[in-house]
Amino acid sequence: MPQFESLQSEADAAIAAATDTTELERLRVAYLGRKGQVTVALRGLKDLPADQRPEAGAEIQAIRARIEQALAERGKALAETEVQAQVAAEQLDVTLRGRALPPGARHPTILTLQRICNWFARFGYGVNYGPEIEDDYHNFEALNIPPQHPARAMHDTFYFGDGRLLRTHTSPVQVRTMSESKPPIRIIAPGRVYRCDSDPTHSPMFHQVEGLCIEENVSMADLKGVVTAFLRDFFEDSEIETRFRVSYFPFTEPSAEVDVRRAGGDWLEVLGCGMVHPAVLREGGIDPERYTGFAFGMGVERLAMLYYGIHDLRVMFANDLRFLSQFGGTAQ
Amino acid sequence: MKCDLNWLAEWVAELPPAEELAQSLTMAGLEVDDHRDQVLELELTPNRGDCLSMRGLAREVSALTGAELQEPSEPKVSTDASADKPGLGEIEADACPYYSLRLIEGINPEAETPQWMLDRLERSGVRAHHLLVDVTNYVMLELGQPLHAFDADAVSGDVSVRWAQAQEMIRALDETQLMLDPDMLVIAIGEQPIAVAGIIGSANSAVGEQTSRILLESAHFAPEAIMGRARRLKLHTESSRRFERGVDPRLALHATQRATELILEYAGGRASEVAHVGRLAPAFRSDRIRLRASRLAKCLAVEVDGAEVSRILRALGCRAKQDAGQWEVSAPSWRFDLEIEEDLVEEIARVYGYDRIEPAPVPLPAGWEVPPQPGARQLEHCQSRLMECGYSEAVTYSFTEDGLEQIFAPGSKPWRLVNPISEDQAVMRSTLVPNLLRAAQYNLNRQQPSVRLFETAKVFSRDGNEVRETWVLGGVACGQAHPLQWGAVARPIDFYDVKGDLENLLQSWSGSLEFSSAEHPALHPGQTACVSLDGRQIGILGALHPNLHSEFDLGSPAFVFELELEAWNEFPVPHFSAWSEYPMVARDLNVVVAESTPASAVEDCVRSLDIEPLQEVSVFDVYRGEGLEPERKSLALRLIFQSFSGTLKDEEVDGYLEQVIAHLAELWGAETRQWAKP
Repeated sequence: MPQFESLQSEADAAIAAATDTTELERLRVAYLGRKGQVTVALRGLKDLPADQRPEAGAEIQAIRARIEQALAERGKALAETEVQAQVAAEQLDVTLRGRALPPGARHPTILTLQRICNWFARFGYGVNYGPEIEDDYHNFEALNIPPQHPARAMHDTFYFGDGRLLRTHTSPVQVRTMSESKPPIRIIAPGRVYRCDSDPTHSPMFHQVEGLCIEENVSMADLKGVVTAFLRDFFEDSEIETRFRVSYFPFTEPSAEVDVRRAGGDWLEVLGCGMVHPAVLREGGIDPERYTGFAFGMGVERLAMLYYGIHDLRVMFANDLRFLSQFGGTAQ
Repeated sequence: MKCDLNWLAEWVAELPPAEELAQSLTMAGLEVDDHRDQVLELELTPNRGDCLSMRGLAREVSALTGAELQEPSEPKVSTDASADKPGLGEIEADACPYYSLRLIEGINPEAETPQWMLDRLERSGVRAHHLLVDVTNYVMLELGQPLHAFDADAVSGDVSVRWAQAQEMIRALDETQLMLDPDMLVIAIGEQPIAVAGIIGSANSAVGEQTSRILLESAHFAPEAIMGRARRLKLHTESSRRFERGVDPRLALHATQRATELILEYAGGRASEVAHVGRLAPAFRSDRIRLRASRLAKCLAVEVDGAEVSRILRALGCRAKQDAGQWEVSAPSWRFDLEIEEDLVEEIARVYGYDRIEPAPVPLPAGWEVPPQPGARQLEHCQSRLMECGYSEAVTYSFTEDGLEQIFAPGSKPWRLVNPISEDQAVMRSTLVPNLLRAAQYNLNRQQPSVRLFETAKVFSRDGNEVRETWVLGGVACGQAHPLQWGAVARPIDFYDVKGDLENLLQSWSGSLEFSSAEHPALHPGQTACVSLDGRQIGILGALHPNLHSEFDLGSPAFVFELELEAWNEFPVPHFSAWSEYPMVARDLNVVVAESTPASAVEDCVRSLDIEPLQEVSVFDVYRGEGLEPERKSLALRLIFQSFSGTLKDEEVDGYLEQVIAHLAELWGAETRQWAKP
């Protein structure tokens, strides 16, 4: 029927001419909407003679389908063009910097302290901090260092004038632990220690970690085992060499200093240790005939400096952001 | 101590090469720092006073390497029976078990020290003086016995050894005036002290270029009578170093003979008989030490062959009787450090070799629990959360300036060091803030545009006469809020940045977090808040008082905080709570209130209505100015409603809003109107 043919060709032309999806939507309403031409024509079917209705109906339905298809095709093409245009307009300079607050960083000393504590925790070593303001008994006498002992010369001590002092090492925690608990004992004591000494290689405050293990039948072989395994893991170097040199601490007997050497390097002193002196065990209320024990102590700054390749002790206490910013992350 | 290997070679047959010797000494406890030019630089531990001589080192080397010890022949001295023996008075026998003097007369004052002796002294690091002093030093280096020569013309009368009187004065050889304590031993003629025993002689009895008559002193002073005194006098001498570690108590006469032999040979003269009081010690120490093979095995976890143990003990100069799995050991007179079984265990171990003890596998804990680390999770939480907020971790000293301590903790009576390194490290801090501010200042002075630092450490205070040590977390933030950023306006860090950081830190703690206006003498009176968790005050946050900007050289505001860690170290296990799947309804209100009304009061007022579906209430904007009376402000309040039982209808929400508006008017005189629905 001719009026339908013109409807078809008009629609085709209008859809082809539409330049954006808004125009296309207007055309959809104009043809297929409730008052659209196709809808109106369909509604007009009832005015036709009954015998013409089926043919006309089929024709309009066909036109409707073709318009729908044309709309869809054109719509797809226009949408693509529009997205392309949008994308073209939204070009960013991806090299401009992102908008985040940079995270801070951890202090290498504290990271190292935590790495040490975490390692020993795996083997059942609990943490005992102990006080930093100590007394002569715990810092010296109970550790077999009587008042005039030449070993005191190795500890330049800060005093408060009332018998109290700043602990010069974490070893007093040994004594406190022994008097507060019964064997078996496995603890480490991390924390700040103080020596009245300040020059490029000495800081008046630094960190140590003390370790103590007291059980029946603990031997030097156990001590060597723990220390060797720890140092291997700490330096993440299964090839690292360790050596135990005879040394002297009033509170251990036998005593040793431990050195490590990495491939091609020199021996570096990293730790002091030994079997707990019977006088110290007795002072802690532990029977040295029944129990034996070992103790070790290490300087955290020294280990951190070796691990991270830091050469200047002073930088460990300056809190310079240029230094700190180099140590992100958390302790393993 | 320096050890001249050419000299040592006279004492030990077939001395190993320097490097090898240095290695075995180092491993056995005599640390060798350097071995260049046939001189060992030894770092001796205080227990090995017996090694402070050629003879002592020779014994050690012989024991360690098996090389034969070559004791020189006894010194030969022909004495002049007609010469007067020196007179001796009272000698403190406990402190000085043996004291001897010998008069040597007719010495040629112009005699020179032989070149070979000068060379050895020099290679041993001892300065040459003149023959008489050089000989005493030489014999000390050779045998380990400190000797002293008095000018006999300056000393007349009986010589005694007594305790000093309180505040007794003596002018020492090096011209320093020493004031003595009553526990210091002196050599004296009557009232007149002529030496501090075992430490230093007096200037007026010293031998000099013209001396031709000397009294040669050789004595044994007990270590307990010397220990610590040189340290107190700040006068460490070669003599005190040896006596306080223990000199072989058998050696004094031998050393006198040796020194006399050398003096007579190189400067002539006549030697008297030796006048002495007391006795030389026997060859072995009187205390027997029992060494059980079982103890040795228990401690070392190696089976050292019995014959090997006996051999080692003998090589060390001990007398050892083996009997049924144990040894009865007598230590030689020169080994002060061998007192108990463990001392012998170490001796066996070190000669046997620590390296021959196989490391045992590390046992996992068995039979007991690892105690939880107090506060460890909380500490890690603080460290990682603050790091994410841009803070770097600082480690500052535990001591601070007294002045700053007084400003930040007025009236705190801090623990004060008697001997601080410097005045700015004189007291133990009761707050981390001043040292953190110093660290911030350090960084700003180095052109950092912004500084955010935190520290976790102990602070120290008094609880009566007791020390209170408390773990705290402190922080400082100043400078630019963010790095220079395209498309963003640069602005300095302000109070709410830092408050937000603390909210981030603390909000994951289940518990109600509150900030309320507070005062602190070092902080800005209008920008200080007390931080409370579950109603308990845990710390403070605020801007540094502008008065203090110059103290820290700050050009812009600095914000500080400090939280007591122990107040919230119970890390709660997160507890699941369900949420509603029904839609949320958000409504905004404009609440006009008096300027003095805190924002939190308005929020609390709304919450106090306990409207069941009210999920959230927050002030999201503040307006002052045009359209408002002075002293009034308008707070923009967002309320979020959500029900667990169904979709909320507008009428329901409107009903709630009416309640809210009425309550705000009642409590705070607020005029409230609803915004357009968002």
